[in-house]
Amino acid sequence: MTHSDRQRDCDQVAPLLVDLVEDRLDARQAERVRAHCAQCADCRAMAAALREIPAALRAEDDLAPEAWLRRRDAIVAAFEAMVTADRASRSGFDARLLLPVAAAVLIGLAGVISLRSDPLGSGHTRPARAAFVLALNEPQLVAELAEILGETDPWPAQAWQLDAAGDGVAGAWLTTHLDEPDWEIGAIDSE
Amino acid sequence: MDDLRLIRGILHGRRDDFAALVERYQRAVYGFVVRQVGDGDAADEVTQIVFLRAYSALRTFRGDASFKSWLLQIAVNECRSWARRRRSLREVGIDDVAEPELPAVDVDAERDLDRRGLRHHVQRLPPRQRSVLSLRVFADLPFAEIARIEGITENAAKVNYHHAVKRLREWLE
Repeated sequence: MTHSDRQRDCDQVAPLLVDLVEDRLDARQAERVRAHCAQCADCRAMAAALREIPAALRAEDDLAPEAWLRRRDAIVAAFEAMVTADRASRSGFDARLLLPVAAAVLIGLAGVISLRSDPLGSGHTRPARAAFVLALNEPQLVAELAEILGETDPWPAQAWQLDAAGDGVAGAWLTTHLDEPDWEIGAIDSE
Repeated sequence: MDDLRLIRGILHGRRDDFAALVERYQRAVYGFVVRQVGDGDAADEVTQIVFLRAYSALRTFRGDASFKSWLLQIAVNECRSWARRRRSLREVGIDDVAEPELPAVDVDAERDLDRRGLRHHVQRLPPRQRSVLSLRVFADLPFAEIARIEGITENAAKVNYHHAVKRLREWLE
């Protein structure tokens, strides 16, 4: 068997080797792959690697349960903000604003639910950074955010500091987009 | 409680059902996302956005695929958007945005299957291989669902997975 013949065999066996390691082959297919491996040191080594490397990778994710609870709580807080914005959208405001508005709500909520005590390495709150990322999906809103923040660049890098600008800024921005100045976001901002 | 029942509860605004769904799937989503974006803080943000997007699109979930697969499809899309945004920020010359640390690989120092070494090596993989590997290992998705998410055949998904593990093995040797 030439080198290229052997390589072609290895290429054909590759997906079957994955199935063999994960125990998804019938007896006939498994026998065929084992016969190839008996002749091929590289595929034998690959079979071992397909067992060991994924197992080692999974071991990386063994975080403490408290760490997952903190992550879950932050996501649920964002969900609550989204529900609040959703209710407002049903009461008549432009649905395209739902995500960025919800993101802005997060900024207001940050102070209320003490997420500010969970600063990221950069010194900014996670909701504020999430707000920035969400707002990036609406170029027009990004430009307006930039204006609020005193940025002339259409991509307001300093929007990372949205939280530092103060919740009242977010509230003022929102009221320019809403027909109802007493919308509940304002109440959250004022807390 | 099964996923569909939780989803119905969420659509009625029940916070506890949303919390239960997050608890059930956050490891899969975060485990996938952090290998794509390469930075823990960014991964937290993207993971949060994935769940918010899932909520905002929940009424469109028809149950053709599993909820987990649907959620991971959102995660794949969000990671791609995140990568595009990073490229855009670079192109317009903004250099004061905090960049996630790029994997600094010292192969000689990381020959063992130690945690730090593996994490960094995964980030060196080509995007398709990294995505397939992460969906299989961290999200535990079947290859058929990985193939659907990636828009490739099931056989191609397995070949990508095989190549990813092969590269990791070579880098670790």
